[in-house]
Amino acid sequence: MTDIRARLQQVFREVFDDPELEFRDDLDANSVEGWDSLGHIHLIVATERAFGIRLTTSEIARLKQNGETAGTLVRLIERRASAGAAKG
Amino acid sequence: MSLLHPAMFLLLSAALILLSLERVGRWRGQVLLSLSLAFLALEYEFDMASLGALAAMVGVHYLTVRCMLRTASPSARGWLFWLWFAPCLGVFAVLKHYQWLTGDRVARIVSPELVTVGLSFLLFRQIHIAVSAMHGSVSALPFVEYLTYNLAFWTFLAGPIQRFDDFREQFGRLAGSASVTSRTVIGSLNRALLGMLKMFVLGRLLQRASGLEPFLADPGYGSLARLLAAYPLYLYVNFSGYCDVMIGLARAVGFKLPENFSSPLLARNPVDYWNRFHITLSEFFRDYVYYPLQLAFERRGFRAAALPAAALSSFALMGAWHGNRAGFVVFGLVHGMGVAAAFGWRSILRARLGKDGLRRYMDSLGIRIAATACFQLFWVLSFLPYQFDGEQLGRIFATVRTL
Repeated sequence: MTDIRARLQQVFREVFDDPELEFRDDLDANSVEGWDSLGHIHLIVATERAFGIRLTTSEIARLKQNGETAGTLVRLIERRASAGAAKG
Repeated sequence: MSLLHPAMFLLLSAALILLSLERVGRWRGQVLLSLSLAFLALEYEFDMASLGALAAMVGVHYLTVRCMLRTASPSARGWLFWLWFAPCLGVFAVLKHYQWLTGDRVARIVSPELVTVGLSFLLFRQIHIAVSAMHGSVSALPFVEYLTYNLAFWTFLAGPIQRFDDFREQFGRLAGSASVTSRTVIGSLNRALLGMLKMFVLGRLLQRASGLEPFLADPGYGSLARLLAAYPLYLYVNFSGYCDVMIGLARAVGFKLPENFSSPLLARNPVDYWNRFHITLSEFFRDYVYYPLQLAFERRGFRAAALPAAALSSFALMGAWHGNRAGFVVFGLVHGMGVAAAFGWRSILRARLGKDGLRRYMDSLGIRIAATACFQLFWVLSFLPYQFDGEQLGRIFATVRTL
């Protein structure tokens, strides 16, 4: 498991209060209990804090659209990380 | 223009005939745009004030977004967004003729039909594109695609609200796709026919039953139940029928629109309801009002206030968007409180019952039936300020007291 996924697993466990949750890229709102509109916001805030990033309204909305999974969040963080590295 | 107007059939027939011609090929998008413009001219009966307001709204937005796309700086894009959005919202409020905002001081400028539907939905599509451009999620804005997205005859009046990237993907496939087949057309028209049956048979029956006079003329628990239930059911049947028609028409011309309803009568609480009723609208408000507001509170550490503040504000706005009386805002506020209460109740249950207990609670058939029945009562009562003004509500309550 990559570093991003390991940290996301910790975030998911804390936000959804499930210490046994195993992070996978195909996790979605239907497969994680509590990943409703409210849970989504708590997930975004916790992710932003864990990775030191700020997601935009469009990105947050896209993450909640049908067919989008936790893998989308991973790719978003990877893009931010590579953009940050390019700037640095 | 009614869906049963001969011009609507002519328009659809022209679309299907033209799209079935091989030689039309890569011009299919332009054909659909031309037919959509013809639809608008017919819909608003060549009223220059209405068509002019529409053209101005589209033109100003298009130029603003083009400027945003040429601007590298995110903060400059943000300024451009607000320079467009703030005056646009002001103009929209004037055109919408909000009684509680302007009274009767402002005369109606454009056709009420254009504002009630039409412009109200156009504003959603424009906000969606502008916010996406501000965040760099839109990189190009081809003119024909942009115009067709905003003015398409199958979504212009009342949605469903399709996302721009989804639309672009389908628009891009138009030119290369095979001609329209009779199988596609029959399947699509089946859906449209189902919608028309809902609108013009069941909907009309419910509409007739939904008036105030039958209850006042013959007060009783039966007529009260009919008064409460008929109007919300009419709205649901009529609008879901309309969406069936539009989803069918869109499919016939090559577009797959998002579904707008998913058995809302089975909803067990307000959160569940807004995931089932007018889905594309509630997703819009969720993404563009509720999430940003709640995030703003949460990021600043006001976690306890975040949910109620965001829910009340976004539902009040959603209510105001539905109509120009203060009763619509009350309707929104009632649902906002319902949503906040449903989330709060779920948190309490989770804390008391634990994860497995909550799952058993949610899966229990008895609880589901009781919750659905309670919510349906909440639902029909919430429509009272939506349907009736203060004077009518006073007469209803006075009559109920005599029962």
